[in-house]
Amino acid sequence: MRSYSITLLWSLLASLILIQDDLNGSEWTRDMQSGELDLRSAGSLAFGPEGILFVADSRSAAIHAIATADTTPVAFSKPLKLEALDRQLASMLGVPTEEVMVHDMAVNPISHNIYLSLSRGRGPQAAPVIVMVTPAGKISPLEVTTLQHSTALLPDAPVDKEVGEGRRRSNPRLESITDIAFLDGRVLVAGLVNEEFASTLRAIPFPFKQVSAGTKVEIYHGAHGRFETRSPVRTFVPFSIGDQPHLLAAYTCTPLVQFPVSALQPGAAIVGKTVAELGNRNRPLDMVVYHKDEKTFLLMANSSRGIMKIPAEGIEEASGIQEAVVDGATKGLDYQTVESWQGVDQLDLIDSRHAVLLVRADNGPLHLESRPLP
Amino acid sequence: MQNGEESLNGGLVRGRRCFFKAHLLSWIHCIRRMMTPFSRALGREAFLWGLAAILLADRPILAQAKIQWVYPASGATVPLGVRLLNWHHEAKSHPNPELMARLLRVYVMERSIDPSIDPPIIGSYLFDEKGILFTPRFPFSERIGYLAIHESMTSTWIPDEKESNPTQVNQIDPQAEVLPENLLKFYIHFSAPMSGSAIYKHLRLFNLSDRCEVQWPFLELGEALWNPEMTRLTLFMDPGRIKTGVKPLIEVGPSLEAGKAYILEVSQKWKDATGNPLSEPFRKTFTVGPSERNPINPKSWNILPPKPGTTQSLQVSMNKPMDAALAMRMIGVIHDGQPLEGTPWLNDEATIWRFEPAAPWKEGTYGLRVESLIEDLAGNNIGKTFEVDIQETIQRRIVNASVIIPFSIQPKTP
Repeated sequence: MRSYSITLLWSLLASLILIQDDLNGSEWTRDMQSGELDLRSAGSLAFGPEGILFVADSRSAAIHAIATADTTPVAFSKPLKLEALDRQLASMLGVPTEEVMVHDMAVNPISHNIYLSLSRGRGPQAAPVIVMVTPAGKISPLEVTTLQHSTALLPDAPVDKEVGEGRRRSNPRLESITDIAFLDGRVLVAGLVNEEFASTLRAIPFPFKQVSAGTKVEIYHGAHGRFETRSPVRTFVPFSIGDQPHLLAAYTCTPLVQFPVSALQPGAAIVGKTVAELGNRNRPLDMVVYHKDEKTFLLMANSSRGIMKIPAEGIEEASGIQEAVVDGATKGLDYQTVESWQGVDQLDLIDSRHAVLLVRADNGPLHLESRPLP
Repeated sequence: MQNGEESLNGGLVRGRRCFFKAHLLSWIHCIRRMMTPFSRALGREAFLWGLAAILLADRPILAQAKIQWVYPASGATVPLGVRLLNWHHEAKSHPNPELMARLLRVYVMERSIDPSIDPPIIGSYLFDEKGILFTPRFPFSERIGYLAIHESMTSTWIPDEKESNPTQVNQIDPQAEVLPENLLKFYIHFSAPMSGSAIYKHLRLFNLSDRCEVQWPFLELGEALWNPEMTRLTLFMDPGRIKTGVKPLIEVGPSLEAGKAYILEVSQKWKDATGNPLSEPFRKTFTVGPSERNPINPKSWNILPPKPGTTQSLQVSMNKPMDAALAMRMIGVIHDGQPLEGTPWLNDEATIWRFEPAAPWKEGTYGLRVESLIEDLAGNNIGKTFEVDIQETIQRRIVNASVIIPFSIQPKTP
C-alpha cells in the first residue's frame, strides 16, 4: 500500500513537471498562427527550442519561425549516406537536376531529422521548398501551411522606393541573408545587400513581437591596428568563452573574428577581434562547435582547404592579430586540416559524436552523409 | 478532346470486372449446371472449348487501363495531373496511397533522371469512379517533358516548343572605360530574368596586359545578389583582395592592378529563366587606374539650376563616377522639406545626374538631398572612405543620414 502511494506521488509529481514544461513550451508558439505562410524564398536555416525552425527569406526580407512539431526524440543509430541527393530531390520535385539548388542544412537537435532549404526551378519564379530527411534517409517535403508559424520583418528592410521609368519601375534593392542562429531568446541575422556595402548584424527577440524590431549593429574589421573597414559576415556560430557567450564569425574578406554577444547593443559599432587569417581562396562556408575528449573544437568547412579543425583553446586565448600577415600559413591559430573531408558545402552536428555533411566533389553530384566527428 | 474523362464510364467497367473475377468459380459452376445437357450432348472437351470462347468473347468489356493527362478547364496546355483510367481495385475499400503511388508513377523526362532508380515526382493520389488521379505537389512546368508509368504502359507529355527572344547582357555597370584599382562591384544587366544556379562559373576576368586569367577575383556567395526580377546581378569584387592588410591581398595581390587592361566575360552558356543560353557572350573591356581613396563630397558637385516655369531638367555634375544603382536611389530633390516628384536620370559614366520634375519649377530655394550611404566605385561614402585609417581619423560610424545642398531657381538676370 505504501509502495502504491509513493508511486502515485511520483506520478503526480512527474505530471506536474510535464505540465509545467508544456506551459513553458507554449510560450514559444503562443503568438504563432496556422495557415498560409508567405514564404517567397528559403535560405539559411537554424533550429530554436522545441523543434522550431527559423527560415531566412531574403525575398521577403523576413525571418520565419515554423513550429515543425518534430519533437519526438529519436536516437541516431546507423550511418546515413544518400548518394546523389540533388538528383533524388530533383526527381521528387519534378525538375531537372540542375534546377534544384540546396541553400542550407540544419539538424533538428531533438529528432535528429535533417532539414534542407531548396529552390525548385529557375529564375524569379523558382519555388522555395523545405524538405526533411530522416536519419534513415527518407525524404519528405515540409508542409509549411499546416504548421504554426510567425514572421519577423527585418528592421531596416529594403526601402519601398522604386527607380526607373514606366514599366521598368521597380525596387531593385534586396538583402541576401548569409547566416542565422538562435541564441538566448534572440535570432541573430547576418546579411549582405545587393547595392550598398553594408555590414549589419541584427538580433531579433523571439517570440517575434511587432513592437520590437530588434537590434542592429555594424561590424568592422581592423587590419594591423591601422585600417578599419565595414565587414559583412558570411557565416557565424555561437561560441562560449569561459561562461560568456560570444560569436565566432567569418568575414567575407576571410578573417575569423570573435566578439561578445553582450556587445550587440542598439546602434553599436563592433570591431571583431581577429583570431585567424584564413587566406586567399578560403571561402568559409559553414561552422560548428563540438566537444570531444573533454575538449572543444571548431569545425569549419571552406572552399579550398577541406575541413579545418581548430581547438577552442586557441580561440579563447587568441590575443588578436594586429600586425600584417606575412607568412604563408594561416595566421593566428593552430589548426588541423581534415584532408579526407573534401568538397564539404554544408555541415551540422547530427548528435554529439557525428556530423552530417553535404558533399560535392569536383562539380559532381551532391551527397548527404554522416561521419564520426574528427 | 485532351481531357476525355467524361467519355468513359470507368465505374461500370470496374464493377463488371470485379464481379467477374470474384465469382469466377461459382459462375463457372452455375454455367456448368445449366449447360449440363449441352455438355453431355457435345462432350466435355467441346464444352470447355466453348466456355473458353465465351470468356474470350467477353474480354472487350474489360477495358484496358489507360493513362490520361488531365488539363485545367481554362484550356491551358500544361496538365494539372495524370489519371489512370479503367484500373479496378479488387478490395472493397479504396486503395491506399502507397499502392496508388506504385501503380501510377510520374517522372521528369530528362537525361539525369532514370525511372529505374530515381524516386517518382511527389504529389497526392485520389481514387474515384474514374480511376486514380495523381496531382503533383508542385505544378508541372511548361518547359519540361513528363513521363507517366503504369506497369509496362507509359505515356508522355511534351511541352510545345516556344519561340522566345534569346536573352542577352544589356550592359555592365560601371560603364566608364577606366575603373579604380579598388573597384568594389559590377552590376550585370540582362534583357530577361536569369537562372541563379552555379553562376560564378559563367563569369571570368582576364588580365589582357599579362595575358592571363585572374583567379578568384569575385566574392562568391551561396545566395547571389540579384534584384527581385533576377535581371540584374550585383557582382562584388573579393573584398579580401581590396582591403589593406588582409591575407588574400598579401598572398596573391589585388584582382585589378593600375595600368593594366582587363576583360570581364559573361559566358554564353549561362542559362536564362526559361533554360535557354544567352544569345552571345558579353565582354566588357576596361583599363584600371589608381585606387580611389577619397570620400564623396557633394558640396563640390556642380549644380546647374533650370529656369522657373519650365520642366527642364536639373543637372548635377558629380566630380567622380558614382555607383549607378545607389545614385539612382540616393539622390533626390526636396522643396519645402518634402521630396519633389520627378524622374531621375544618370549618364552612362554615372558622373551626371539629371532630374526632370513632374510639375514646372517655381522660383525659390530647393535642396539636393544625397543620402550619406551613397558610394563611389570603390565604396567610399559621404565623409567616410571605404578603408578608414584610424591613426589619422576616427570615423567608425556611417549613419544613414543625408546631406542637403541648397540651390535656387531664379529667372535669368540680364
